[in-house]
Amino acid sequence: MNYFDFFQIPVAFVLDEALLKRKFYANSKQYHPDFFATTSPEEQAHALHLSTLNNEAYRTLADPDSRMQYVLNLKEVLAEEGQNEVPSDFLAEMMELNEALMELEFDFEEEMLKKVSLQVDELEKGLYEEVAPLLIGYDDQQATPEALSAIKDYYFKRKYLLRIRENLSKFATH
Amino acid sequence: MAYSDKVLDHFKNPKNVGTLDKSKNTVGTGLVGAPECGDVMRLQIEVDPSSNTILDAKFKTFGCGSAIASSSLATEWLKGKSIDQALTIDNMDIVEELALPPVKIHCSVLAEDAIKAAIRDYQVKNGIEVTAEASSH
Repeated sequence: MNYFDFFQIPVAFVLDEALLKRKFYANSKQYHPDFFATTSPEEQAHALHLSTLNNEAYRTLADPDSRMQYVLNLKEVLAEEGQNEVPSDFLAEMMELNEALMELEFDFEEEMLKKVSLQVDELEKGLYEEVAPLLIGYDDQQATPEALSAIKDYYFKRKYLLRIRENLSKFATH
Repeated sequence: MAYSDKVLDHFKNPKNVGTLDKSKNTVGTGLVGAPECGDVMRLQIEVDPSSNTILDAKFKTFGCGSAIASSSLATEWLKGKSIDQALTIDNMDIVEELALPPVKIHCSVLAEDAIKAAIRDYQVKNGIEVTAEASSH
């Protein structure tokens, strides 16, 4: 049973997060160890298992990035580590951004930081807009390999951007 | 996870960090990435065409300690080697030298890919028969 089945919701990249939260809370109540204090050890163990599953499943699906990774793994489109690639022009761009950030660390310039932040914003927005229809309109029964492959590319490119964002945030205190 | 002393040494005092002029015909550039972690590695070699020997090697890596150590070690090994010798560098040599734990083996693979990509770039640029296989990983 996958995490989506566990919450009885369709496999999706974009989902009703409020609904997910309600289901998570309902499960948390239902499987709470306190309610099983007087039951058999087997039942207690089962409730604990479901309670743990509930937490793991919610943590995974509540965050859009880990949800995306989870679905891509379900669909078995992520290759083994070391076999995944992003286009070389994108890599070159990431190299440049990382180098610009490194320079900022040594020689801080407000203008440069703004420029880099803006570039990252635009890149992120452009990538999302390209893939958004696929993410929003995803139908698990009719997903094509091409669509999944495009989402996978987006997922890996995002990894680079998230990392750069993390570094960018370190300058926030300047 | 504890890093070995050798990884720490290369990480804290990386050798050969920098950039070579990629517009020069004698310079080969390899740019590779590990998308799983958002790592990107650039490794460059400068070759003496008359002897086919690698005169200089530089790298720049944005990634974890093992990725930096792997590329730092790779550039150390490349200097003074012939192209043919350089192509025999295997990622497992790097794993062994740095005592990389199994979860970090992909960092050494990245370094090997970068070496091959740099040599390939040099060979393509100069119309030399390409002996560096495309990324096998």
